[in-house]
Amino acid sequence: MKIVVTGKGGAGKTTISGALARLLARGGHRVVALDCDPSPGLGISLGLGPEATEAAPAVLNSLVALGHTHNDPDPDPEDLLTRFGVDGPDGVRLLVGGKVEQLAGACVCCGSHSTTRKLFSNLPHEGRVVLADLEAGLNDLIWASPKADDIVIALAEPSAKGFEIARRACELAETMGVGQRIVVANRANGADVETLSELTGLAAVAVPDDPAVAQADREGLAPIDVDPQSPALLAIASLAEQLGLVPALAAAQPERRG
Amino acid sequence: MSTRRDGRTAGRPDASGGGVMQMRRTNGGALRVGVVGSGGVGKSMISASLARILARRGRSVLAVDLDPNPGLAYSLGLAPNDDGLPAESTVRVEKGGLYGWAPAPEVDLTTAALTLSRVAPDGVRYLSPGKIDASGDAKGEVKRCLGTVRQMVDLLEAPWDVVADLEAGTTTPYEGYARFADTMVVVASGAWRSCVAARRLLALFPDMPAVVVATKSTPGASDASRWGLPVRHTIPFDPDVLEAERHGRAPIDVCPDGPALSAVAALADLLLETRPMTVSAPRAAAHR
Repeated sequence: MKIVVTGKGGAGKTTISGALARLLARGGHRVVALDCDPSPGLGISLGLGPEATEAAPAVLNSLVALGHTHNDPDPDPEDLLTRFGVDGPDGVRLLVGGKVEQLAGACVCCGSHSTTRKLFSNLPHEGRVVLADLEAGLNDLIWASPKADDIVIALAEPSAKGFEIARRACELAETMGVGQRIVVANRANGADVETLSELTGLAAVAVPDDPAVAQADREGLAPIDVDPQSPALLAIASLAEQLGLVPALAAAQPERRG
Repeated sequence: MSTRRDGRTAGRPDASGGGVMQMRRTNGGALRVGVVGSGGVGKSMISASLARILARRGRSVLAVDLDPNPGLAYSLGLAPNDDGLPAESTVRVEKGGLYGWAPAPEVDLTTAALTLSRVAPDGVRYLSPGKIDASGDAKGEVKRCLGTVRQMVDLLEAPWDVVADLEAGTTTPYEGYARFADTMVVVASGAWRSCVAARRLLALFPDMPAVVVATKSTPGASDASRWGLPVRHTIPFDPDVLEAERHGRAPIDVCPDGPALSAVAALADLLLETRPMTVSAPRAAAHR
């Protein structure tokens, strides 16, 4: 199964991706978390900590450093996952696409987009969940180009522009032929959920504002490591169930991957 | 290269955005500010409020939207639409197998800020590249307009205060979208990831004067400064701003005297006090 998480900047894509990945891993799924933001930060929300997140190699930068160019044949994604992936808590495997580091050299930004696109498209997903945390905005959704069998989760924080970007993301995903589109109202109240549902024509999933999540974001921690039973985490667990996946909180006997 | 009507020599950009020739000029005391930072830290709120505050002080202000996602218009209090630039105002430029967009030769850059913008409240002029819609910019309209807007802002010589709101993250700053600026406002909230992004942005532009602004701070929490950022200015959390954004209204119309907007007014003072009076430093080279 492949999932892309998209939405306006600050909607909570990375925080929710990190929490979802950890919940799924605790529920017994093999999870590959793909950080598609050229300013990578998913490692922090997965619970790797700031140093390990900063140290995680980016696929594109690593390949460029090894002398590869854009014109080389596409490397085997499974091989890239083995070479450049980093194991996080609960056995989630983090793979960072590209990282903008300095104003020189190769075109890391375009390269980063096409790298993550290839990784997302080509990583085998049989027996695992590939969860892609996209860069803010609609552009990266175009790059990721999810397919009919994939799932698009469009997040919105409670703002008119956040709602509008989520609406466009859902429509864009529909244009792309994506079968399962889920819209999430993050840090939302009842009226926000109604507004977003009305705008998108989809029943918005509500994730409440949660001090435990805010604390995690402030301190560079994974929300699940701050309070796994907090209201937002419970809501993200029910989101996983809606995807047809068993999250940790619903699993009778959580099976951990080593 | 072309000779301008005023007799001075100026450069037009090539297709890739690189190779713009640099010139030394006075800027008439105008601000040229690029607002950058990770998503949701308050870039649009700061850009829009700053623009309107400057306009209320009698200055001519151009608010430039460099984000192809909906956003800045809401914070300005302007009815959002997807309009970009008319086709005749842009020209496709090719070089070395790459192509890009630039202002058409007929566009008078001394008046373009007026002729190609919309009027926002307080007389702020709003320049937009259009917005990605459900087609995913299938016709390349936003690409055309965004490419042109960024070049146009680079070349504008009229004494406008330019406040540009960039797309979230490091990508478009890296691509040189803030090259027009002589001051960067780098915004970070209390969230760790936003501070990491701010550090990366500062590292991208070691020679550009930058004002680091910490947003959404709460009393007692040192937030962003904790992560080693040289925070210069703080904008406190204001629940009324959240409510304004929730309903798509301009914060300055909802809570003009609240703590957040007062802090943006103080940021305007700071930027005016510290602005460079000439544009002489070579701008950061394009990345390709």
